[in-house]
Amino acid sequence: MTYTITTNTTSVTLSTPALLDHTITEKISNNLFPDGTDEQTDMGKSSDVLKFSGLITSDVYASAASINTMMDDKEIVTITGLPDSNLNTDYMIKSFNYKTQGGTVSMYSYDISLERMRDRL
Amino acid sequence: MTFTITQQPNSANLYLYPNGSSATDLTAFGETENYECVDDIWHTSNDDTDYVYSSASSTVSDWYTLEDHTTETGTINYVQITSKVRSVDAALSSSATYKLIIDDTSSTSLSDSFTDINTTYSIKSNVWTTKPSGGAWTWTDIDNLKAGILHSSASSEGDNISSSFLPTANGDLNQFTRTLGTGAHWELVDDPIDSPDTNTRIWPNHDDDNEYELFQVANHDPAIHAGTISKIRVYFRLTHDTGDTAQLAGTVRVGSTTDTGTYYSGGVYPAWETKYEEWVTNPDTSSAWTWSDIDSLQIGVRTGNVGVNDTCAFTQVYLIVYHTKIFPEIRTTQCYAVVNYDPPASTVTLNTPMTLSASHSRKIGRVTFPDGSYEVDDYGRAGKSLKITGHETSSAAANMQKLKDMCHYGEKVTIAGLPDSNHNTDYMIRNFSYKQAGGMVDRYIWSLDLEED
Repeated sequence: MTYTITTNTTSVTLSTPALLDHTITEKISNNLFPDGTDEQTDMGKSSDVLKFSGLITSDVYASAASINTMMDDKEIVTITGLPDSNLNTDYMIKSFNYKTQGGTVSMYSYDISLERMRDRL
Repeated sequence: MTFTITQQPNSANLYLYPNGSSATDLTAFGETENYECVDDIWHTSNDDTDYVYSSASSTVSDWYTLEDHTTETGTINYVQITSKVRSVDAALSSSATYKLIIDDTSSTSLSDSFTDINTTYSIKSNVWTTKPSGGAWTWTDIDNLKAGILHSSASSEGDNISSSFLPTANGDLNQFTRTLGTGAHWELVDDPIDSPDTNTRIWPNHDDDNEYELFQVANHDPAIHAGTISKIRVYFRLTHDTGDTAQLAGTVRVGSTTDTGTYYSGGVYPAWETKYEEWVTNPDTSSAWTWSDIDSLQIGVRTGNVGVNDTCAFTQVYLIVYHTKIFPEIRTTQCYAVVNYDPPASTVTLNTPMTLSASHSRKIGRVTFPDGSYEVDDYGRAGKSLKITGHETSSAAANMQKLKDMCHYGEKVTIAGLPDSNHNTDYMIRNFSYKQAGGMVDRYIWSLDLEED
């Protein structure tokens, strides 16, 4: 199973993430009035972050380089192919970390953090 | 498998300070040897604590030998000689000269004369891109280098040139009963004009009415002080803490005359005030002051009627003579050489890292608008780092030293030879650490934290 990260100019196909974490944070304000009553207001979403991690086992160096380039170019990326299709939408990459696995063997473990660009309709 | 880290440092400065006096015309103040008076490190000169000086109108010079270089190598761009200098009592006239001098054992070279030397210390420097005997500098030349200063004073003329004279001995009368501090009376009130020491002072007892504290001052120096004297002032710094009756007056004693001016009480202790009394003419002759008068006069204070509970002390007294011509003293407190050079490129070859991790993060911000819509923007790179760890089993200590030097220089490094060639680029070293592995053998485990340039 794979999923794909695509921009207008390039795409990277990776193995389906081993771990996936989705966090939505809302700006909730608590207003306290002089009569002692209070009111809670949702001021909107402050972040909608998708994090996943996994292994890169093929085209290792090129795949990592492509994601770095997407970030350097400030590109909006489109995710497709995730099992939860609700997550297949547009994002900006907040961070991308990877490290070697098994000494000098050509395999990277990685984690990626994405900020969602559009709400699901 | 190996990879390399290479760095081409920017130019660096080597500071060389005097370590001996080669030839001297100037007079040392504050230290025994002339070179010791000017060897302060570049950012911390001690100004008037020690210096070399002369007011000679003839050309005089001081030559100093300098420290040798140690481990520095590379191409020398230039040698700069720097000094810190001021004149005393008046700015140098355009007829005076002040030059920096350098010698490479074969030839001597002089800078142009500096024309803007006044009574406040200023830095003077001159750059030699080639050695005085011609050609590029070598490190042997640097080790043979001598540096110094050459100058001649010239008369400065004006209506109100002032020269100061501090007490040098007790005068004819030192009648006040009470003192604070140890030493003769004159030593308690001879503080430099700009730094009075209120921990030493003299004051009269209540029955010391109409009595004197008089002091001799230094004779004038004909090589420095000249011209017509327009007036003199006797300054004294005083305070009172009980009663506020004016009790002390500036006094001058010349010939058979002792003349006293207005009485003052000064500030309320612990505050102090400086007052003065002025004489346009010699009170003994009623004629204009002469330099002979200046050499023979005594200065000080006199009491009025001291009340039983009054205490009025003085901590400083000095003479200012206003005249029309001076050969200013030229005072140098610092002299050193700066060798600017390009260290050679350094390359260290290491075993391919045991671990490699990369981290790339960006400042992604989400802005929510009042209508509920929002926008996600990229505000730029937050970090793009590479962390590698490895171990060295041969020339390990030498390689660690090279990496330490690279950290010290702080310039970017270039990595080549990593298996993932995308990482073979330029970085800044954020952190380098290493530790010995396997006891005392030449084996180190190291870690490098790099930020992509």
